[in-house]
Amino acid sequence: MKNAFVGIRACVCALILDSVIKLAKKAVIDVPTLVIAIVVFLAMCLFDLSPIILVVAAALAGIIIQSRRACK
Amino acid sequence: MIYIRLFYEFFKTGLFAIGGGLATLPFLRDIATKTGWFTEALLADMIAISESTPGPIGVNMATYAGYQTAGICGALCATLGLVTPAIIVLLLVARVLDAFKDNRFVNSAFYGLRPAVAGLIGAAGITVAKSSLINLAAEGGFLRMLEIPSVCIFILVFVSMKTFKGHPIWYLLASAAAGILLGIA
Repeated sequence: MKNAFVGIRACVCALILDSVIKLAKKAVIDVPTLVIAIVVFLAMCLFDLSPIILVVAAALAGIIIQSRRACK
Repeated sequence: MIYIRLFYEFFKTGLFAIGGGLATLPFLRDIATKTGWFTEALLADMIAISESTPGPIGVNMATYAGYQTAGICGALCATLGLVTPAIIVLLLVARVLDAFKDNRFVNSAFYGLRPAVAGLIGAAGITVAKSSLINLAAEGGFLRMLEIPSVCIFILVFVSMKTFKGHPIWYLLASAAAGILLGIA
């Protein structure tokens, strides 16, 4: 049983990677979205942050970036 | 009060985990490190269970963590905590769906949220990989730390998913079998 879960955990890593790639393909459509994805990824990996802060910050960043575009 | 704590932690997850599917993963990882209600290795097993059975991972994890910490009442509190925000938001949004759909602010917020969710899940994936593909206790450089059989399964599954598609449960079953075979050999 223990060995079965060793295989399953490895498979789960592949499932996660696949779903991240699918999400990123839909979400990363220009430079700002690429920057947001990379910054959030690094912030989560390097610092012990709560994901809530990053979600709120990303939503605000989206609103600010899009409204500045609308002004131009 | 453990019941309130369970409700509160999973309520936060339900409120902020936007995007469906694995979007709850980074929040569950956060709960795992903060409270110790479940381990990160268990999180990987729970993803496998949730990918192969009905029910989203957040609900499964809330039920499990609640039950482990405080029995059936704990399971109820955690699960209710997780779904309450969704119910409230749906009730509010359902009334004004048309206005909401084309709202400039909502669309702009999602423009920023989507890539953030991808980054969050990616980072949570790194945590899961650390507990399953890498043996941090091993010495002698990065290559020595890799769990070679696990890494082989990982690469094989990823490549065949890209080539054949198909439901995750088949890959999970094959990987379980491969794990057993490699363990015996």
